[in-house]
Amino acid sequence: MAIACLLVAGCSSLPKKEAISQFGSAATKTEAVFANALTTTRDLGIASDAELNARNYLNGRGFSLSPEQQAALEPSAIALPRALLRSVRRYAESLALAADEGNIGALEDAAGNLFAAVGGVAGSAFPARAAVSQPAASLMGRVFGRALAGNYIREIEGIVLTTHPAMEQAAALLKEDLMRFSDQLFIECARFPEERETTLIAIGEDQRLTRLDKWELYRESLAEIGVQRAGCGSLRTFPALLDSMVTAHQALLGSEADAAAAVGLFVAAVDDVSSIISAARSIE
Amino acid sequence: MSMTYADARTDVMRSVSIVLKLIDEEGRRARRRELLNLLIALQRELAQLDSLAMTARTEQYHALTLRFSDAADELDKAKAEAENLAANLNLAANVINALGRLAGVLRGA
Repeated sequence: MAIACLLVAGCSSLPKKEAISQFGSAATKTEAVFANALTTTRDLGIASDAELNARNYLNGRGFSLSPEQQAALEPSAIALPRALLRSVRRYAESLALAADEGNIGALEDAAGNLFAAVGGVAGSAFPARAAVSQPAASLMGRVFGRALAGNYIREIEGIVLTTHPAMEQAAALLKEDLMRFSDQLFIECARFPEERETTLIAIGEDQRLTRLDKWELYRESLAEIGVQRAGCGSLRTFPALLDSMVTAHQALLGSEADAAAAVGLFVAAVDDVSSIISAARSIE
Repeated sequence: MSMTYADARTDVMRSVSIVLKLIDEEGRRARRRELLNLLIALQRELAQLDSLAMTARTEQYHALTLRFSDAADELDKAKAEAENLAANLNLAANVINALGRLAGVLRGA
């Protein structure tokens, strides 16, 4: 059966190629999603500060045109998980590139070319045996090509296997620290509506504003806060996303069906969080 | 009795929840502003605590970051070696083909 398989062209497609490629894309997106969530937190902090300064300006008090996040994590602390996620992304990208079918095909083709050349020379040297030597060389080329491709695939899978404990540790570390970012985002999300509400009250005291002006201001603020509320919960789903990344990574070493299913869940989890944050950031 | 990071953090988050609840219930604007300032102060406290906790894990982060970087390098190397091997096999095939043609020409001569 194995020999029959070897003889059939196209039988040697790279196992889990699609899943590995999707894993690479999802890991890249995970890093981007995390960076976006941090930016959302910072931007909300700055937006709250801007509200405060705008009110100060309206009330004739000191104000600044350079609003800043009043209470933020140290940049050096934020840099740690970001660097780790960037490194995971780079690994996943390299994995996707290494697993590209072109590499496997090139090895098989090159082995085929070599044996075809040998068969051709043998056929020329011994024309009487050309009918046998050339197909035999072609078969040997295919077998040799498969062996080379098999070794290459095993080497890639070996790297995935030895990297898996680090993937588990990274997810555990990030899950614990994400709680801190999530709480910061939660506070910023609670503060911004309060600041906006106070601003609306201050503006509303201006007698020149019509009821329609006030209604429009209210509607605009309500829409802005509503979208931001959606983004506020984004980091709460991040631990589940990291779990699905670990499961998907492990599944890359299992059967093709398991890998496709696990990577599919990882991709769906990333897309869910990504769409929430994208919606929240689209109002900027 | 010394307070651990976890205890301190739990206390701050509990205070945050109380302040948020008070803001929600408070009707007087001046008082709400005071409570908002208190919220910012608590958030600053939380940020400091968390920054310290994360900085204490720098080594862990660096080790893992390096591990993934090394794994990426290994994958890049494996890919480059596979490409080199394929190129060398193709080169060998071309040399054999050329030698075969040369042998044919010599035999003809």
